Amino acid sequence: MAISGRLVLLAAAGSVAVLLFPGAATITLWLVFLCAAAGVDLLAAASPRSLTLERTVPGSVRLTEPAAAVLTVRNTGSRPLRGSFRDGWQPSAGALNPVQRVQIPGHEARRFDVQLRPERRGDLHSESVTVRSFGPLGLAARQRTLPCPATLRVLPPFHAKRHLPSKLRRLRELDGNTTVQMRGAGTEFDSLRDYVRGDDVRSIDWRATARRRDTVVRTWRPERDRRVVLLLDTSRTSAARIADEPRLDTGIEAALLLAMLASGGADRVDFLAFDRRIRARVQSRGKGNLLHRLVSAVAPLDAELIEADFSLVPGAVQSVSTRRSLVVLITALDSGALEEGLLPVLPQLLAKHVVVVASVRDPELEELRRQRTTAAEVFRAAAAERALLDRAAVSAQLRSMGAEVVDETPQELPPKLADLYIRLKASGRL
Amino acid sequence: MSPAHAGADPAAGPQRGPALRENVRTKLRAWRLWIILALVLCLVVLLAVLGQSGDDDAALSPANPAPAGAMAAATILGEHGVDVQAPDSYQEALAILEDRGGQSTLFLYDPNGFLGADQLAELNGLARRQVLAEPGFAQLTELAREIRSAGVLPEQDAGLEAECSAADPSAARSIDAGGLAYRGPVTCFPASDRGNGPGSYAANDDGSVIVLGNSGLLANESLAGRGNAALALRTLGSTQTLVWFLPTASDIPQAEAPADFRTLLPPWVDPLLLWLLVVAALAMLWRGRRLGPLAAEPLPVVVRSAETAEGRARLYQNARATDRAVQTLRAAALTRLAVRLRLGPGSSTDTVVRAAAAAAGRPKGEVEELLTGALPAGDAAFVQWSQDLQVLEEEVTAS
Repeated sequence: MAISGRLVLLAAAGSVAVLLFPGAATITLWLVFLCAAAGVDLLAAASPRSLTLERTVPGSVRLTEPAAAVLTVRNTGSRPLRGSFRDGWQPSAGALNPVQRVQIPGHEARRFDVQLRPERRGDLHSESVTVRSFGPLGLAARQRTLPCPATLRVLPPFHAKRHLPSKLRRLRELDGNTTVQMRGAGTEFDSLRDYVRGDDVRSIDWRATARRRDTVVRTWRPERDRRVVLLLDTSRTSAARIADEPRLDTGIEAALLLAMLASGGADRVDFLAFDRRIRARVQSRGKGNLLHRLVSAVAPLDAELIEADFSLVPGAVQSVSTRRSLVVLITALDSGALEEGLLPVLPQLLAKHVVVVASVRDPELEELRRQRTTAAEVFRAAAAERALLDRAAVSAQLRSMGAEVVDETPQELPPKLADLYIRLKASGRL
Repeated sequence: MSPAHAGADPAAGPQRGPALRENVRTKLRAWRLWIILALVLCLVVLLAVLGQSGDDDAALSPANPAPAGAMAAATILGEHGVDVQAPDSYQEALAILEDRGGQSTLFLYDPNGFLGADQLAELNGLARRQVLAEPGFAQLTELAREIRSAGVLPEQDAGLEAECSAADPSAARSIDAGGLAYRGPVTCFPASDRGNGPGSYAANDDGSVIVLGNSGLLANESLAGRGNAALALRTLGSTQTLVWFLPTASDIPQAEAPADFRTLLPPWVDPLLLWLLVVAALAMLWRGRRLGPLAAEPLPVVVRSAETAEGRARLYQNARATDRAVQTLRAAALTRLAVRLRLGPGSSTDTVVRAAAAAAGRPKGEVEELLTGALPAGDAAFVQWSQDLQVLEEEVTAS
């Protein structure tokens, strides 16, 4: 139960009576009066147990976009319900109006919109709805928490989407598929067609020309139906916050952009998230929109405070694709974690696949190493230099083994990774 | 649930046991806070009750075994046949003294001055011997007219010598110094540097009034020291009965007690205060009742990426590892210069130094000193050196 401000006012009014007739009798009488009034009100209030709740929540919403959870309250009792309810969304769901007033006559239902503005990616929950039902006097209320679980899946924002059109255009230019009069820069033979003025004379196919007695040129296109395997590291190193964003979220952005680009380039994209086990998996064979499947798979991912197990990577890649593939590992260039985990299994991967290691670089280290006004700052600069040197050493080692390394700031990582993909595709290394 | 019971009610039997237990557990969890509060309250009340039944802790109380108590002296006196009476109130003390008909010893210790002048005057002359411990002016006036207060005796390690002819002090020979000093017809244990000045023990001529300046003599912790016990026991144990009277606040005469200010207030104040308390409690209930349980937020781990670098910096600084810091800064600068001057990763330090000197337009020796020279000594030199290194890099980059 709960009481209202009215009851407190009524009690405060009692002090006048106590002032006029001081004594235990007045106090007792007024107390009895208050209790009786509250009791009558409680008895006359609609029972919260007679309510049935129904919730409609949009299945998923992109981060930074608003959503509305609709709560339908049906009063199955005959007494009218007056009072308020609170929808128990967790704070990061950003409910703007979780507490609302309700007034439902008996045997009727009302709908309420709870506006949500999610502040975090992942699955956001509301376990219950608490209803407070006041009696006709508005003095006391019956309160009950009714279970009504709901989940809103908040998808990653995919800010890197803005890079997609320009990268796709570059991919189409490779294809020779543009209005520009130029040979496609691909490497795979596509077809023969008649020579038109302006074509590169080097691409004339003399044998076909001799057969046709007409000048014929070869056209080229980039390779198609190659396999791209994206591996996202969700271990402890991905929990680090760089420029106000966890490394994991930046990795998700980069993975999404590359996946969309590769599927635009007619390649087949598989996605795996792993730490000590496979935590999410999206297969190229699956049905439905790839982007939707990807964002739904990565939405509930969180960084785990455990060490990544890179030894499961070759097996996981093998299970996805037995052909030569582009394996993109989105992880951290952290000397300790990589030297013990990735380096031993890298030769095995490199023997069969093209491997790209992508990592987010911390721009703060650059700032730290430039500040040298006090002794403490110089020591900090030295420590930052040490961290940068370690990273450089690890990436040099990875490059010397034959892997490609992309080490960029959070804003730059997704487009740079996409550029690397286009470069690899243009040079026919996929 | 027993198998027999389950057999008797086969439909409900299998689930009812666990469901019931689950239900009880849920209820218990919901009421957990109140149960814990009730237990704590019980514990507090229990402790308070137990604490009250404990021994009294007044200083020099004959029933107090603590260091400041005087149980030891009272027990020894009891063992030697003295009937030690410890009255709880002034009335009781008066009754005992009158009952013994002037054949007893009165020991009075009232450092707070609870007894009024009239009460003290009434006590005077009822006992054969009156022993006052550290009496104030009022007590001296009423009970020991010939003895005057004479300041404070400093505590000192040496102790005080009797230096008088009275029987009890000379038997004790020496006692602990401290407490107050008094001057009377018979004065013993004078402060050593003042010769015949005021002392720690004063009595009138026939020894019927004795003032002990140092009440610590009787305390359990110091009774065994020097002649303390001899003086105390001889002073208090001269009669069959000893009335050990420690006045308390309840002995303050009624007329002297301050008037209760509440009797000055109008009659409605008390009920109104009580009622306002009720209103306040209701207001707390009104504002304090939460609309539903708190929603839990599973917070993600947040680690700043540069945290490790800063931790390493603090390690460098705490260990004063200037050499290591210098090496790291040099290695980083050389690497960047080599890249900037397009020298390739395998080039030697000397090559880089020469190329950097040429690019920056500086003498080679200066650049060499910066990049490979001696370690800078002291913090100021260290900071200066690192800034110079940065300037060199900028010059090369700008060229």
